[in-house]
Amino acid sequence: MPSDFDANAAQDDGIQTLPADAQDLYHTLAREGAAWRASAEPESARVNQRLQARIMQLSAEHPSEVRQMTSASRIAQPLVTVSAPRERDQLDRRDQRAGDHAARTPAHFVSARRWVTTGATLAVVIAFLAVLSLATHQPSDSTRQGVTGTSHTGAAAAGWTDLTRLDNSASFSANDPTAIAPSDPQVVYETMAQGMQQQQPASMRATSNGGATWRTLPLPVPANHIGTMGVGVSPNNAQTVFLSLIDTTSSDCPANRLDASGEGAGNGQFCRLQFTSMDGGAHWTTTNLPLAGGSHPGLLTASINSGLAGPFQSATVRVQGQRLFAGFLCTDFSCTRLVTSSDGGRSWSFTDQGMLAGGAANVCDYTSSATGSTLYAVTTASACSFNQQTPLTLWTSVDAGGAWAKVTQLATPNDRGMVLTQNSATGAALLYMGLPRTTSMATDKMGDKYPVFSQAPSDVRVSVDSGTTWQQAPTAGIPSGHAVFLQVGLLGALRDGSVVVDVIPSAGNGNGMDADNFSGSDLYAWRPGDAAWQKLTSVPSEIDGLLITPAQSGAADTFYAVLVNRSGTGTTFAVIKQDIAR
Amino acid sequence: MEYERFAPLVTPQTEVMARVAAAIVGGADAEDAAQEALMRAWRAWPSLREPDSARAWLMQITVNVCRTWRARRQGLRLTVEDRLDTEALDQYGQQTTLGAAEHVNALDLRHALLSLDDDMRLVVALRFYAGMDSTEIGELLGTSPATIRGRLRRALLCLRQTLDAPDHSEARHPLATEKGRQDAI
Repeated sequence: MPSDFDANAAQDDGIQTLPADAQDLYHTLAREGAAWRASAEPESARVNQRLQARIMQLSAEHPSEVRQMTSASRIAQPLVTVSAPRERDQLDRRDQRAGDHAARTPAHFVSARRWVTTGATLAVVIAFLAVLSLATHQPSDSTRQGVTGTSHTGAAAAGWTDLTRLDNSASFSANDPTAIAPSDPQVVYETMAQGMQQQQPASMRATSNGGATWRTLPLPVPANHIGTMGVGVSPNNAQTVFLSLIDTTSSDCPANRLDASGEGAGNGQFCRLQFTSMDGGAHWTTTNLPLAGGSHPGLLTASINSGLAGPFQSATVRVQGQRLFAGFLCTDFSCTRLVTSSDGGRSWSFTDQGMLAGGAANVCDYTSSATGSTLYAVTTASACSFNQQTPLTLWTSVDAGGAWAKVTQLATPNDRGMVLTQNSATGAALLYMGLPRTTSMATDKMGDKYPVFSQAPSDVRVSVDSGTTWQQAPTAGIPSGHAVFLQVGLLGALRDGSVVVDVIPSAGNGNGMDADNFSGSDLYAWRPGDAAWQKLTSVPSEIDGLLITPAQSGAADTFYAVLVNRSGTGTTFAVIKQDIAR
Repeated sequence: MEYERFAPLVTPQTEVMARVAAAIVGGADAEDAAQEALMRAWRAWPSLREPDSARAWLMQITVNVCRTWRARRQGLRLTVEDRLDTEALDQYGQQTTLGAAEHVNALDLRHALLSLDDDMRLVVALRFYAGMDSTEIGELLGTSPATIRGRLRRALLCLRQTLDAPDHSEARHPLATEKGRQDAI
């Protein structure tokens, strides 16, 4: 690593071919960088000392356990609760370190939640290792062909079954959440991609038997042209699959989808493409989508992953009888619209023209009744962006999107998901929304404003009169010191009409910004008429998605929770299942 | 990789881990990010096969953690508003030693840096603030040194054009569109 930037370094960087003023800028940055490193050296040395101390601590605390482990047993064996004394020890250390940090850092840079997260991370690691030391005599399991019923996520204690056969345990940089078919949860699709920079082959696989066997699916473009991709499944048909991807090779790209921002392979151009398969991924065709504004191609938010994410809060395909609805995101991110399909997903058309004619510019969210023809949508007169804090308008349609009527302006500019369901006791339609308040506008270090959200149970609101008036959910039932984690939105509804939310310790800053939920959370349910929220179960780690389907028997609901592990080397997923009767 | 080899292989790399973290997330958050990277490396240590790969592997973890850290701060998960938020660049604006003769306003340069897409900003931060060369950065980002040099040259041209624009706070080079939202961490 060079300590300074001399002429040789500049030559190595090939800047001699640049215009003189750009070369001057290079040298300016080089001088400033060197000066900054020099000024930061004392702090860097201190951080370095702490890192080395942590290495010594880790190595000293677990020498015997770690020596006996194999990587296979580490993945497959159960995780148990941290013992209290050890947890206290870690928390004490964490607090001491937090105090040191606070003393040298401006207050607004210190996030209490971060320390909780760090402590929790350490605690989980310790628990992980402790369990492994007890489990070394148990048979090992493979990462992909595990035995259903064993618990490697720590879920068993909370009543979950680990569906280890569905684990997407290969660590890829741009993995997308596991897609479970709502109509047949035995059918599951998984994509694996390495990211824009890697130019490594991506892959996709599917199972029709809950992971007992897998088949590798063909891809619609060369595998090593794929930077990232996402998959969604029609709720009506497990064989109808929607695939969005970034193709990093410009020769694959239609002219109107070409992005010249310079990060694709070769000449730096790339494109975002949308495909559909009607046969479980055996064959792919370009999705028949309309052009927004007559010229802007788009993607279905039903199949968009985090690498392609748009602003839709309820980014899933919805079904109403045989009709499908999905969000539509312009590939240049210039618009968000609502589209519908009446042929099972083969072709799509806009169904939001009535709202646009009424002054809406973009559709930010929507929900639909399972039967009938009722829709609700949220729009803005500008872009769907939390930071802009633009007012949100609620619309409704009673003819599946043919005509729209403006209902009301929502109470806050922060839409964190909407769910339309029915109260099984009264038959009343229930429209839930996650509508946190903006408690303040914070400023990041670059001077940009962003909203800080409340995370109160009352942020969940419900309307029983088609959105005209709204009732806030109660606080009762949620333990003190806990918050509704609306960063993941409203998770769905039970068959009795209760809405399901994720609840976490509220040690964060209220914005969900650093609530990575690493140490787990609790799922709670509530519906109008209930005096309090009811705890359903606990989730052992960060939840990335929840599919709620009617249980095969009785009055229970079956929960399939997709858990995500964002390690430094990539992302992996685990799936757990539980029948919950309320 | 056996855990006994964690300390011998990782300890020599902590200095650069701290420096990379500071360059990407800023000094105030550098320790947190580096500590998280260290814990993730500890957890994933058995997956490391080759001791010779330890340095690049640790740096990749550090960069990934730092990028995630920034994304979390935005309140969204690598979405449209992902922006550079480095104290390094902040300090750049406050502590610049640029002379008037160079006709460069540090604050303008900081704003110009914001016009770069995520990967170009990352290369600038690692090249100039972390002091890494293109080979090291290429190892970190899983691409060739030539690609890094190309990205660096492109960043310089974008910055120059942005600074030369009449209203450089709004100007944006055609090549400098946001990329962070597209590239998974």
